[in-house]
Amino acid sequence: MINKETISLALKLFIITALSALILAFVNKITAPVIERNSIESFNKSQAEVLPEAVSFTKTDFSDVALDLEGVKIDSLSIGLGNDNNCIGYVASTVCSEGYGGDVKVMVGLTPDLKILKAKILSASETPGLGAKASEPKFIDQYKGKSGILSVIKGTASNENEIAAISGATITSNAVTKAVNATTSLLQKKMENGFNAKEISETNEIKDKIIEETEKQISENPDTMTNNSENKGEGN
Amino acid sequence: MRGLKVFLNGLLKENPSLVLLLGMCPTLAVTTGVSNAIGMGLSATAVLICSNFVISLLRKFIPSKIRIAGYIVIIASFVTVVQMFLQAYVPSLYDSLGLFIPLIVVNCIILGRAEAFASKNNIFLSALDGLGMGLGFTLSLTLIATIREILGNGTWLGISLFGEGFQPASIMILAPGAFLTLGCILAVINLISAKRNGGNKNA
Repeated sequence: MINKETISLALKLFIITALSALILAFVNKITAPVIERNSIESFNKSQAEVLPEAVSFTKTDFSDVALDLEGVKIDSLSIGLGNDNNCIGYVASTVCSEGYGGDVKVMVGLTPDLKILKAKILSASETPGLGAKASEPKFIDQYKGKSGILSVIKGTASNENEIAAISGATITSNAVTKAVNATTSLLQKKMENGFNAKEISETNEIKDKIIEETEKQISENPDTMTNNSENKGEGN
Repeated sequence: MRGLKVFLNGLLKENPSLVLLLGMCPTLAVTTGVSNAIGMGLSATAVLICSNFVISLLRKFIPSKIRIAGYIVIIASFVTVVQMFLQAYVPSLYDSLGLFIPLIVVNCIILGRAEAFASKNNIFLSALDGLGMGLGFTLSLTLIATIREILGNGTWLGISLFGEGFQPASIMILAPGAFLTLGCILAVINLISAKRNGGNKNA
């Protein structure tokens, strides 16, 4: 008898869990593409925001650069291209794990000579009212126009490469600055390695040419295809 | 009439966070801003209504021996559904609530209402109880958040109230501020309820 009851209990719990799994799978199927589109869209939007003059972006590999970065991870590096495929700047997104509430994700747009155009905080879980003020213009706009490795100081920034910390949130200020500095040193190293913006736009031109040629071939091909089939038809 | 009583019960008489003292974790953690409090409250309300509804529907199917396991599965599923919908269609709210949504699963208000109400009452009353409790939770979160955001940041729903001259007391939006605010509100509520039945109880 006990056995029978156990089986019935297990069966009922199984039915509940199976139905839940079914519902979850169904909702996931609906929402997953929307969530993915959202994240791509917001990434593209942020890229356009930190480097507004760029017409398009190409992702670049940065695994060839060995960086000694503690607490910072580089997420992506893109080159902003202008109207005629010329490089007009770079966009990198970095994550610093040393925020007060965990990861601070920062995106930076730079000119070809590594002057910061704009920094933007993509996501952070800093304390509201203190660290969360990092995304307010008063703090984040300090990075505009700066270049090189920056340092955080308390009070008012007087030197060219100084960032005034948010009062009461030095840890957050440091984390953001670390992320921004990582971007600068990544690009500096890349350029030391002979990373040349011109080359990239040239490779892009080559790519475009190849695409154009294949498109031409495709548009010419249908004729040859139909000719072939006609020939075949006649032969038979 | 019964329905109205059930609804008001959750809203006032048995307000989950201020009278029953349930769901303290989100009450303390999310009330740094009014918008977060409202978002958290409404998400929890949605989960509460759905889980109360389903648990009431299944109250004869789920044997009492495995009821807790069953409730947890149902509640966790609804929370995940709410999370996925928020992430897909209200990403800005998801960004600010992200960490707290999984916490709804362990919010004892939801399990508490499933156990205390939905497993014993019909579908209609259970859903109504969920609505009342959820709105009661939302209102008390909003109240705490209002006090904390105004004192700690000088804003309400992100709107600056006092201008540049106001020096906010940052402690109010840090963890201690949550305990201070909650303590003061509870003291006031206890004072009121003690005065109400003061004659027969506190001699």
